[in-house]
Parts: sequence; C-alpha cells; structure tokens
Amino acid sequence: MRLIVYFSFYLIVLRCGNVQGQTCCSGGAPLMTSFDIGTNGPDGSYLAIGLDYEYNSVNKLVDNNRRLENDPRHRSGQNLLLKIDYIHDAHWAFSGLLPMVIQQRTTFSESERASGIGDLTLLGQYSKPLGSDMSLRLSLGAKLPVGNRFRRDDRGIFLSPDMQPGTGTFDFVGRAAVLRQHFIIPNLTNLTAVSYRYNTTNPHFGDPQRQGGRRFKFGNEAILSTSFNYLFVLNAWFVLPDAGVRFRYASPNEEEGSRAPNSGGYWMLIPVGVQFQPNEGLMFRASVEFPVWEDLAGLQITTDLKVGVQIRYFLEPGTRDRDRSGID
Amino acid sequence: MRLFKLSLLLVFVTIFSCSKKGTTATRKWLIPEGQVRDGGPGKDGIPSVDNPQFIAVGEVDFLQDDDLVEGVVYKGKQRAYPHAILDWHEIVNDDFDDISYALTYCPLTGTGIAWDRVVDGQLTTFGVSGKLYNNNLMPYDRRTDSYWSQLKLLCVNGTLIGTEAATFPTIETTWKTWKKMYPNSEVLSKNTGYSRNYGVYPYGGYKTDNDYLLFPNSINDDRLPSKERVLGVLNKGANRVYSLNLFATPKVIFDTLGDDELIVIGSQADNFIVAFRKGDLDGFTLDLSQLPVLGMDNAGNALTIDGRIVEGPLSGTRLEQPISFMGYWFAFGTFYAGIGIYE
Repeated sequence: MRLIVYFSFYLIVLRCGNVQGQTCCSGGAPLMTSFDIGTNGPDGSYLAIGLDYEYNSVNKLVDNNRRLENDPRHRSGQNLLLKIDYIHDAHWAFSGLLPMVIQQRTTFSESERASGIGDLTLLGQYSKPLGSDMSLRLSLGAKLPVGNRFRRDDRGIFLSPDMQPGTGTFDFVGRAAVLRQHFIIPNLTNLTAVSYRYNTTNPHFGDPQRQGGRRFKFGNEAILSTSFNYLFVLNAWFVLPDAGVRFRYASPNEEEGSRAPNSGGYWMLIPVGVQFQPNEGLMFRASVEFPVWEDLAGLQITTDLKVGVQIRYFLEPGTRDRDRSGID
Repeated sequence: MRLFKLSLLLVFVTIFSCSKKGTTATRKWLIPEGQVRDGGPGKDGIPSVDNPQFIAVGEVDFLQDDDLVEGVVYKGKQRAYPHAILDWHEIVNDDFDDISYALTYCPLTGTGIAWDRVVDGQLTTFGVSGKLYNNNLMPYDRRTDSYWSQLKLLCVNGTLIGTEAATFPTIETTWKTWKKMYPNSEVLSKNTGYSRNYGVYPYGGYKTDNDYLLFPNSINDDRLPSKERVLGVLNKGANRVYSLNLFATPKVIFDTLGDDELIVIGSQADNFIVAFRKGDLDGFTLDLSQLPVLGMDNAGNALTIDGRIVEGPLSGTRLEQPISFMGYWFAFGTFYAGIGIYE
C-alpha cells in the first residue's frame, strides 16, 4: 500500500457548544460532526487519512434565550483531529479519531490555556442500499478516555472539566443517516441524520490516583441534521458547496449526581461549506457554522461562530472513484 | 517536504506546550490545594462591581419584600446591597464616607461579609478569582494577585499569604424590613455596567435543596439541615451559630462565648439576627415596633440594630460586635469544624 507522508490531519472541531454559565463548555473529544465515513469505493478496501482543523469561538452570553452584553469572558476551542478511515467494502467501514485539543479561557485579567491529546473514538459503520441512489448508514462507536484530564493552572489547581483536553470517561455514540444522491435534481445530494451521544460519569475528576476527586458528567447530546450539497465540475475539479441545518439538544451536566445549574439546552445551527476534490486521492473542505437560535438553561456562554478546514487523502485512490456525494 | 515536516513539528510543539509552572509564591497554599476547585468562569469571569451606583429606596422597582439585602450602617448613613445583584457579581468594591470595603457575597454559602479594602496599609480592590474552597468564594486582591478564602477571612495564596481580612459589620435582612428601618438609605443600583437578569436567581433550586451542593465539602456536618440559615459568631477563637429558626418568636438571648457575654437578638418574621458583646447593658426588653431600635435595657438604654445606644445613660456609645455574619449551616460546619450550635 502506498503511503504518502501526509498525515492529513482532520482537525476535529471540538464542539464547545454546551456551555455552563459558572462552569463553561463541554470538553473532551468532539464527535458528532465527524461521524460519517464514505463508502464509495466500488471494489476492494482502502484507507483514508484526514486532518480537520476547527476554531470555535464561544463569545455569546445568553440567559435562556436572551442575549446579554458585557461578558468579561472569552472562550475558544481549537481542535486538530486525525481521522483514519478504513473502508472495507461498500457496506462496512471503520474509523478512528484522535484529537489534539486547545482550550482557552480569557478575561480582562487573565488568560488560561490547556492543550493536549483528547479522547480516542472508534466507530463502525454499516451502509445498506435502499435503492439506486439511496442508502442507510448506521454507526456505533465508543470514546475511550486516553486524553489528558489533569491540566492545572499556574497555581496548581485543576482546571474545570470543560477546560480539559480529555474527559476521563467511556462514552458511547450512535447515528442513523439516510443518504440520497440525485435528490430531486441530478447532482444534488441530501444527508439526513440523527445522532446520540451518551456520556458516563467520571467519579474521580481532579484526582489522578482515582481515590477522591468529584463526580462529574457531561450532559448527553442528541442532534438532528439535514444537509444538501450540489456537485459542480470546474477544470476537472469536483466542487461541492453545501448547506444544512442542525438541531442540537444537550441535557444538563451533573455535579455530584445533581444537575449542574446553567447547563444544557437547545440550539439550532446553520453549517455552510464548500468541498474541493481535485482528483481521486485528495479532498479539501472549508466550512463555517452559525448558531441562529438557542434556548438554554439559565445563564451560559455559547458558540457565536465556528470555522473549519478539512483535508483528506485517500490511499490507493485508483481503486475508488471520486466521491460525488461529497459526504466523505 | 522538509518545510512540511518542520511545520508539523511546530504545530505539535505549540499544541503540546504546557501551562505555566508558576513561581514558588503562587504554588504555596494554606489550605489543601486539592480542595480548591476551578468554578469555571476564570478570574473575573464573574465581574465585580467596581463603580457602584446607588438609588433612593423609593426608586427601587426590582425587589420583592422578601428579597434579602446586605446592609451597612456607618456614621448615621446606610447602604443596602441586594442579593438580587450580588448573586451575579459577588463583590462590590465601594467607598462609603471615609471607609473603603469590598462587600463580598458568596451565593453558594449564603455569606455576606464586608472586607476592609485597606490591606497591608494600601488600598486595593477585590475581584472574583473563579476558584472555590468548600463551595465558598475565593476573592483575590488586585494589588498583589493574592487569593483569599472568604469564610476563613484569610489570604491563603500569594504574597500576602497569612494576612487576615479585617471586616466591617453588616446586617442581613429582607427588603421589607430594611426599607422600614432605613427609608432614606441608598440602595445599590442595577446600573452596574453589565446587563444581567437581576432578580432571577442563577442557581435554580440550590437555596432550598438541602441535598444539593455543587462540589463536595471536606467536612460534612449534618447536625442541622445544610441550607438552614444561621448567624455565625466568631469571638476571638470561640465560635457558635444561632439558627434563624430559634427566633420564630422574636427574642433576646444572653450567652457566654469565650470570655465575653453576648446579647443576641433576632426575629424570624423580620428576618435578622444580630450579636453584640453585652458590655454594660442591664438586662434587655425586646420591642421591635420602632425598628431599627430593638428595645431597651433596665437602665433605659435603647439599642439599635447596628449596635448604637441612642437613648439612656449610655447614649452615644456603641456595643462592641464580634465578627458575625449570616450563612448556610453547612458552610459553618465545614469551615469551623465542631462549631457550637446554640440550643
């Protein structure tokens, strides 16, 4: 197998959207936007290596659904995700995602930053054709707590869970998606998906010896999304602009078994992007996501803008066609 | 290719760069480091009010009668700081006549304490560090960036480590009682420079749920329900709490705490408890019909809620007051292990 050096890093957008008012953001590995694994190789198996970068600006202070001004805090999350997909055949595919995370928290008096390896996610996907242009994709996966969750500030105090690169918990993810190519008109593709992430409790947050510490659980998460892209061919490049809508629900975080105040809520987001495929072996994508509505529990800071780029390299590209669905 | 590899190396170095180690001074703590929690917002993520504005009692339109306020009475003038605002800012740096204090209030322990802002001979302001110790606010002073424990009244980290906080007396009561006592007082305005939903409590059912604490405490003392409001009296090393429930019928308690005889007066209906060193008072008959006057002793000395004697042979003097402030029981049980409960 020919291996070319590019570890096309998928920068994973660490979604910092679930933000608490007194304790903010959800840390750990980003998952829900990186699920899909293209399975468009006609014959044989192949590897795809990807790198995503995403910058998540968390600068909007919201009280339930009312925006407030004069927030002294600025949070941001940067994620660099390495994604390796193994497409076994037209039905089965597997993926591993390993993020590198930078969390930053800034006020007028201080800036704190924590970075490191996040949690590893392993996914399996099964695709079943439902017709000539439609397929069902079912994914299941687990997030393994390999990430660092013991970052401290300069006084030796453990940073809050949402500032840690890792979570310390085994979490589980599932997704069902329907892909429809040539949807209504030729070259228009639709992907509609429902995803769920179940988070478990870290019983020893802040204690590397795992004897004390405190119990903390990030809220579970559900996402319903639909997106469209349209294929153009420009100078032999495939160009696929895309847009969609995503509805997200997060349950409140839990501290010591009790619901943490100012956490959880509902969001509606609009992701927009454009993907380029110059040949069978390479794909680039740039995207931006806008939150257009939120109804949050209590006072929280939340995402005001998210931008990202993706690069993906397909090994032995001669065994596959360029993905016309733009979903890889 | 070489440039790509170098770029990759730089990316990894940047991403894996660790947080600052800090100086020796910043890593030494007088409290167990492992029990200090990062609350989440970061330093000054909860903004203090540093330029407080005040309005007249008649201009207040955002308080209900049973909303609590922290009051300061000084040289015949009075200021009230509503919990409705303190819940969102936790510290108000104020200059009142010839004194400067930080009105510190922790919503999680329910403790309001006015700290002298002259520390080590120099004026400073205090901010919210974003850290918590046993669920209690940890202010920091902006002159030295030292961290303090509100309930220990002590600097626990930084160049001022070991310095004790000096306090001014406060009165915690309801808005209804306060405006009856001091109709000409000043009240902290909502014009803080920040837009917040003042009047909406930001912690849900925390105030009344006895089983709900945000973080574990180092000591759990269940002799009283955790959120029961008590007056904690700290008298030169001898400490005791007096529950507001004791004063379902307004009463006067004479008690001995350490080397001092105390007079403790409270009313659950009017929602206050105050404690003074008895001094030369001769008995006391409670009469709350003329608040802020609390009543009179056998010699005709009339005592006010802020400790002044306004009538009688001792008129013009004031009773000494031990450090005392209201709060949730669990906070006193944790910070002052084994503290006595008046029964």
